[in-house]
Amino acid sequence: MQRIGSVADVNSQAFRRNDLHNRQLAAELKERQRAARFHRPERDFERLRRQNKLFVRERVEALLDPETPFLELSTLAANKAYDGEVPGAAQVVGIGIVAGREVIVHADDASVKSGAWYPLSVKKIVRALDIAIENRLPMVHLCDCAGGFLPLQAEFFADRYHAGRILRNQSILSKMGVPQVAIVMGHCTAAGAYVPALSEYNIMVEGTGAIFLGGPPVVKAATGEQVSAEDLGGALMHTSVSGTSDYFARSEMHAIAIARDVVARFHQPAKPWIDRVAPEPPAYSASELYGIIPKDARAQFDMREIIARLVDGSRFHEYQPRYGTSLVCGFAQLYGYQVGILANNGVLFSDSSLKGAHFIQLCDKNRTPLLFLQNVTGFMVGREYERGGITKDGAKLIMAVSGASVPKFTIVCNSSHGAGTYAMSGRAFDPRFVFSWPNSQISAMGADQAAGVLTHVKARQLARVDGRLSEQELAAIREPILEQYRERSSAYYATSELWDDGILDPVDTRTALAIALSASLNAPADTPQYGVFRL
Amino acid sequence: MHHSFEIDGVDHRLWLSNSQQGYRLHLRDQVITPVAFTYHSESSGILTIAGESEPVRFAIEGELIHLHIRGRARILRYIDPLRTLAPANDGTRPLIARAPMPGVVVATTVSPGQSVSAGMALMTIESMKLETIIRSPQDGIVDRVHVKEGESFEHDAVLVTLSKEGR
Repeated sequence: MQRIGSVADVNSQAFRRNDLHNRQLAAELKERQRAARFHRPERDFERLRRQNKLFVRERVEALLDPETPFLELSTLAANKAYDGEVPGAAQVVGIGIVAGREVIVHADDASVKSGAWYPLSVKKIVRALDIAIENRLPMVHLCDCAGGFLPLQAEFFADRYHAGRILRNQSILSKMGVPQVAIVMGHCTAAGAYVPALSEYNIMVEGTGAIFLGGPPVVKAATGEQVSAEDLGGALMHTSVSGTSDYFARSEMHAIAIARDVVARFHQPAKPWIDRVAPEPPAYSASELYGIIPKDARAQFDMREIIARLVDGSRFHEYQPRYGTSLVCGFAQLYGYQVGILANNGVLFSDSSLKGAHFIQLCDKNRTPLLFLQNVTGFMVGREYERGGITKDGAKLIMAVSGASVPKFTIVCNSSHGAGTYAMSGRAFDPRFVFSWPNSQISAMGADQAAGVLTHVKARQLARVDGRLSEQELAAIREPILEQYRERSSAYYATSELWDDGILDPVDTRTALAIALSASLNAPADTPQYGVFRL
Repeated sequence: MHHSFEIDGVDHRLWLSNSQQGYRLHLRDQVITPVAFTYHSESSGILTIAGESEPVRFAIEGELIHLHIRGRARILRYIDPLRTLAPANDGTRPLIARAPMPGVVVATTVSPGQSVSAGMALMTIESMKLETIIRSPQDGIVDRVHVKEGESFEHDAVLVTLSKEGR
């Protein structure tokens, strides 16, 4: 495989301008993540201490093997919702190593609203369970949830992907033979009571842990019976009388030690269906990505420059380098695992779509996971292209993306708009993981174009009443539309709504992908099978 | 969660993690690298710590490791977090021995005032053509034996009550 010869001029003015801009974006990301993880009012930490509880970060750290990587997912979930008052959607989710096994961890963060479930908390937990199902990852739940946040119950209770899905997914995971361990570190009430109950193994902490369908106040209101939380559903009762819980723990650390001992006897799956060679770092420094990603999202750049800073030895075997050049396709190794890469070098045309569809089938047949690097404004429009069958060729690419049975991974590197988002394995196409870069924008249409269309529509409505609008009046309509549109196409909004699994500092992309790829290999790949291609 | 070993009464928290060559040893706040071990036989080999190699001989006996290194013999004890975090006499166990099923007392092996430790036999009962030993749930002193030899009892009946020592 040939090494990509980078032509990036690291001394150019443009490179330096980009570098400065993207380093600022990365610093801002780090700061926002730090705040979401650790920034809490002192009174919340005091309350935890008073209750004899560890902070969720300490719990997760104690659970994981020291000095092993933890890929935290959706750290900034809900950062644009609920006035920013529910950092991380009050949940910590990530992939890590416990007693040598790859597991996914889900932990309620009781320092935020006592760990109450908000609509986006439910979405984050359901997503964690989806990841467990798709990748057959054993799961550890650290339960400390005050219950659902009732004022918003209509947004998380009754629908298909609402809270019931957590329990359904737990049951499906169990049916698949993928074990779960739950530690009850706080009250698990109502639907939350079933999280430990549906786990193959659960551990209760004396004093603080409790499981009941209705807590003492509910019982009192319903039947007049007066009962303490400990007596109603404490650790001693559930481990010795009801059999709802399996292990009694004296403290949180004791419970974590038991959980580690349980996980240590889980079966370790072989990952036989993929070849692996010795990994090798890229020939170019990842920090140069900062100078390559353009400050202006509209500026074109060569995706090979990105690939050169992600893959082993910067080596890339390009497939059909002379055909359909707006979609770069080829093979590379990432930490020794072979991957097939599809990366946008411009808008999608008929030929690039055909090339992409063909390349996906080829990777699927030879069992090569797929990596999509998105920088796509959509499919080409216009009379000539419609006559050339751009829609049916796009349909082929979408059919191939949907049908591929090898794991898919998607990075939103820059722009992601229109049907291009879909054809490049967007969230709706079940890639195993989707990550965004902080500069990225995702929306049905670009902000300027959309604001133009929306302003035009609004101006026409108003004009019917008052006659023509002045330039100032048009600008007054246009600006707020543009502002809201920009806000809602930002990476921060996308990650707030869990359209991705988190924003990555570009220099961390290689490591994050390696962990995600390794996790995905816990599941065997189905045999390739597709729907009907419109030829 | 780190591993813990006790040497001469002092606990040492440590962890071995993978590194490019061999392992990294994390000992409290220190990181020592590289660390490697080559077996010569089942009970001896060469231990390399931060570039220095030492021949060692060892014998592992449950949680005890007898180690001979640099002309000295040392004993390391692995501290199992499951045990240190959960004292056997954890106070949550009742001071009462109850009948696990209906039956008849065959023999009583303790008398009031006698000091007993957790797990010690208190009496033998017979039920469903099977003899069962009732054991002490706790360390303590026998307060009262409620059912005499030859007498029958129902499921969950109190057979023996204990009192805390020094009461």
